[in-house]
Amino acid sequence: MNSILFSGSTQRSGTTAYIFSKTQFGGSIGSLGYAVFDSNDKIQKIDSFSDENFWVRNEKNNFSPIQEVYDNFLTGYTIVQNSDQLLSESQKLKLKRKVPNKIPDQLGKDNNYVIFEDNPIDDMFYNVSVKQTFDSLDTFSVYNTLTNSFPVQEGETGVVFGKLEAIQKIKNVDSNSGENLRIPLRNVPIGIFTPSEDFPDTTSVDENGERVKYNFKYNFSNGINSSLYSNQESLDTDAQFLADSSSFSGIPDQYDLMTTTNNEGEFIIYNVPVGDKFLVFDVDILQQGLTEEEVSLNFFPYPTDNNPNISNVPHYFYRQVPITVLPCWGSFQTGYTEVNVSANIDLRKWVTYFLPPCSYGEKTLIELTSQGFLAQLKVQVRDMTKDNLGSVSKIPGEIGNLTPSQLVRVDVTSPRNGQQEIGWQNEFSNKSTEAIFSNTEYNAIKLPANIYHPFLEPSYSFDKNQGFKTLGAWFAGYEINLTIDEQNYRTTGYVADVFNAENGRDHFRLNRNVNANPGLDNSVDLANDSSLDSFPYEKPWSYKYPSIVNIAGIPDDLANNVNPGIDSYKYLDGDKVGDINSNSLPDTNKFLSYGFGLQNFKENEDTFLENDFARTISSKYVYLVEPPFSNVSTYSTGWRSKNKQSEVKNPDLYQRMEAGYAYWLRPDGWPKVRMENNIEYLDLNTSTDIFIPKDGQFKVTLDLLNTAGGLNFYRVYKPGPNFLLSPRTPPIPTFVDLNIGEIYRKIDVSTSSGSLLARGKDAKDKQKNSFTRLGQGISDLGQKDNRPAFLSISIDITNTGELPSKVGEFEVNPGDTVSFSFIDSWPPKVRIQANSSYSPDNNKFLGASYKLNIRDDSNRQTSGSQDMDLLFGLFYNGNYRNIQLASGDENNPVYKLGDFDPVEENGTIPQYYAFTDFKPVSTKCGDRVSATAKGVFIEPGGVRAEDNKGLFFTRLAESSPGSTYEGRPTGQLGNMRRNTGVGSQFDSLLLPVNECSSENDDDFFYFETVISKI
Amino acid sequence: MKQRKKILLRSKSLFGLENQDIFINFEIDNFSKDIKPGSYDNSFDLQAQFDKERNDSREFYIYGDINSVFKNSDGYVIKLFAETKKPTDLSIESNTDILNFGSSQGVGIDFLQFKNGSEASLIDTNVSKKLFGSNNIFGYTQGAYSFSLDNNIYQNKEFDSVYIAPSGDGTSIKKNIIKQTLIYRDSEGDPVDFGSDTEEIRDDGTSYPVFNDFPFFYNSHWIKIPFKINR
Repeated sequence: MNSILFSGSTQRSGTTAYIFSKTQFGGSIGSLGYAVFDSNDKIQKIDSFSDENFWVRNEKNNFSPIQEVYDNFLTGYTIVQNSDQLLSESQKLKLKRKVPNKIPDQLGKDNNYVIFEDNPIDDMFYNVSVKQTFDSLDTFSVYNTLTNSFPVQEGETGVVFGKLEAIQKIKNVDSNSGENLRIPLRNVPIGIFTPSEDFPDTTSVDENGERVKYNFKYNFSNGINSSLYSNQESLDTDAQFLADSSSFSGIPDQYDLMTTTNNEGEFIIYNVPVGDKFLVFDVDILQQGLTEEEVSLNFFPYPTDNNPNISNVPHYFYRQVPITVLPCWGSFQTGYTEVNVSANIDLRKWVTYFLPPCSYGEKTLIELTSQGFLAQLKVQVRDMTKDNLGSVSKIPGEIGNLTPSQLVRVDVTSPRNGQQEIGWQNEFSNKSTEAIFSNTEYNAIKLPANIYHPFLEPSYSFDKNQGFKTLGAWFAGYEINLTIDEQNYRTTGYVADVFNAENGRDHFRLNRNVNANPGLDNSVDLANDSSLDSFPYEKPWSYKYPSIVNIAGIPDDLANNVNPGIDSYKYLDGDKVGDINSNSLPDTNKFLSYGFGLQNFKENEDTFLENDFARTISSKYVYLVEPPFSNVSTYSTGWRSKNKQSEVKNPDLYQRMEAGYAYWLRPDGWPKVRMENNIEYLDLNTSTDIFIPKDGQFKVTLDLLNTAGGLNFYRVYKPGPNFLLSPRTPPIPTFVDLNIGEIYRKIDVSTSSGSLLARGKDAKDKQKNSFTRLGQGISDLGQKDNRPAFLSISIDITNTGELPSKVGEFEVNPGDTVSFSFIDSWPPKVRIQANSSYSPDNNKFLGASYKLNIRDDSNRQTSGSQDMDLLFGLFYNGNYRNIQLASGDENNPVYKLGDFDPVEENGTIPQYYAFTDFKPVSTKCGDRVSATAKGVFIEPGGVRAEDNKGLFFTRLAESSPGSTYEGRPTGQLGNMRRNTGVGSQFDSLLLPVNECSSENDDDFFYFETVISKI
Repeated sequence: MKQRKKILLRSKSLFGLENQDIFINFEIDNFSKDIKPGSYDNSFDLQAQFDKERNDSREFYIYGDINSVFKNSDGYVIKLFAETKKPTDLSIESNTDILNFGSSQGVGIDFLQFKNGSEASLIDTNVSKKLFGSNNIFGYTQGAYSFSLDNNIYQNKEFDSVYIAPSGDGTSIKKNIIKQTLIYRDSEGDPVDFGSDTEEIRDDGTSYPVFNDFPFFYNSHWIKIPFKINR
């Protein structure tokens, strides 16, 4: 031991005078004091009593009465005076003289005394010595010796605790060290393997070859704790494999030391026997928020056998970790045993994007491909979380490099994967930047989530009551481009130039880094400067860049007008489409799907049909999850926000979609949804950017020629197979037979104009002779008036319906014509297939739409053209009102009739007959011009007067002199009479000009067409 | 080592400065040399002392965790019964089948009669607390309980065994009762020392196991009994 010793002394400087008097000084100065003398009465000390009067310190430095300390003393009064300087002897004498009572120096005990004490000050020196005093160690030793043994106690069990985490494939953006993201695994069974009779060691299996199961169905009153799963389908999948504890009366041995992790992945296991043990855990990945199809993509496909061994089920991650457990208390090495486990478990959820069917230049991709063109719809993907956004090398305006992502090209025509929500069979992920499609279907791609928000609650965390509130949501940060020819496209994150809609900018091309309203920046080409690392491309996108990510809410705040029609909004907080409760609607408005899933016919606005959207994507509703940025982007109704009367609730501004869900990417230019009469449907007449394929009345395609625009994200509420309408199967073919009966034509008038009408004073008689029968009459109708028959006629039948149909032996596409010649095969008869008025209820076409042109091929007894524009639509449906002009122009009308009753070919095909008959029509000459029959349509129901048979006919009867038919629109021939009471319809009727022989002559016109069903 | 340091007066170090008094505190050390060196030898028999204290103690701390496959284990009422009459039928001595039970106060079961002739009466109840950590793998909370039997309780009753059973009807008690012997006795009737893990032989040659190596500290025997509630 070392000690440091100081030696030396110090005092106050100057001279101190101690003055003592037996009596009190004048002026009552001084304090009680004493003077001490030696045995010779020589003054030794003068001092004042300090604390206790008449007590002074003794030899031991303790206080005692003065008489016990000193033998020779006086008590009295003392003054102590200091001078700052040393007093000389003369000064001391002066002082003495000043002392009251003239104090002598030493005058004996009875007198006063003064003692001077000089304290000279000079430099002072201190000696400091450091001494070693080792020998102090030896000064005292205690030796304690134990006999017998030391009583050792130690716990036989230990406590194991730690944290279980899953290492992800994406980086932790909150860490500066660039490490991968770790997600705590919650509610995972974890514990110490305990040997049991059934499972004596860690590799034991039961009689079925199954390892011990640790994941149980919970015995909550409502069954399995559904809040652990992202959807019901996952719960149902898991329920097939979970163990059931309902038959256990107590806890079996193998589960003795098992617990579950908490929401932070932490666990603590008590009572673990000390020693080498196996820590086991069994992660149920479905309970970590994944779905069956996501597990298949992240791990490996599910086994195909009916009762797969649990070891082969990919959503269970079972591991054993050897550990050494220490006693939790005891004399030596003790403590809790910490075991932190990180497992490579890919918990990324996937997102599904549905894309619209596309065509190009009014041709489907299939048609283009059959014509030898490379017709491919490209779906290109840019991963916005890659770390080189700002430095993508690109030519201005072009796409630049894309970094490949994991991508699944979904074949939506392949079967759904069991009852999973958004899974198809044969899903494989590839590393790619694009997917290619060449069909006319809705298509879909799947992408893995690449953004994780650790503190946000995902949508599916809906049941917080059972204590499993989920924190941590996955997002997909991708921008998508849809194109066929590279020049024209639809893309996400698109914003149009306010001055030039075709000059848009979008995040896919990374050129929105200047202004969200690029029209204001036309002079600035910063956006196309690939060297700029400016917002929002300075760094990879994440949950907090370019903004904090959001999950949009479902609109529920209805505006006042819930039937806004088009170009308006229904909700104040977004755009929800197709959420209709049809219970209270009339039957005519009850459909299986609404919104994008219900459409009208372009030709017939009031006829609705559940379309392929409802069969491919969902028959439930969708809702917009981003604000419509683009100046051509709108709500589904066509409404564009101007004054924010309606705003999407909590939208994400950067197209980061919550993963685990499906999104419909509605393109700009898609028809508007009309919301009226409490239903919502896609109004095909509100868009010019679409093309309706001839072979598909059930879908609309986006025509990607000469257009650009945005893709708007709509989240699909229920994309599962339970919410899809049944796939469309080919309609059951139905037919009618068309018989051509007596067809007459006028023989003494040029047919170049196609007139069928005789005229003139004697027209009635002349007409009889001037009309020539085409072909032979139907036998049972008999030949009339000895009219000569044409030897040869031809009939052109044009398919004006909606799908390729059989006419006779021929397959005729819509718009195509097939011709029949009947020379020797009377009566001419053609079996035609129903091709319009599709009825979804029984999957049949209930109507036919054909154009019929009958020509004279005999070239006899005619002059001029042999063509005869005798044009009839031959239809029957029992409902005249449904006869209407569907399309075409005055010279080439196409008529479409409503439903009639064709039947399947193995049934009794209804027979319809067409023939012409005539009667004279008399009008006043000079009051009329020309008359041309462009088409006559026949309504059934009349009875033919001549023979009282069930005929259906319409006739142009005698008209009053002076009346005119010029310019009368179809169906308004007011002077027409229907002597059988049935209706008639003319396209037009123009009477000839300047062809009257005299003003008073009557003209007679004959015309009659009959369709007969016998 | 000696160092000489010179402390200058302020007036000498710098013109115009006034001298000031300096006070230095000194330690007064006693040199160890002053103490006469010496050594003392102590000899301790800790084991003997430990055994003495252990066998003298009649304080018990009974504790453990509670777990169940079908219900939450916190807030669970557990009863402690003291054996007031020893088994008379030694052939089923360790059998805890209950013959009869009843309530002396009219509220809750507070005495038990066993088929082997022994009897027990209620001495304490306890409500389990939630064990720190998560639920068990069946979805239910885990609990912990404890009973403290101090000298007073023990001396007043003078029992050798206790029973732990859940509160409830006779059926649930029958299914879940656990017996714990605190004091084992040899054939002479004398207590077997704590810390034993042996078999005792009776006069008739039969044997019975003795395990009373309970951890002992804070002057108490610590007996851990995991308690599983069976359905």
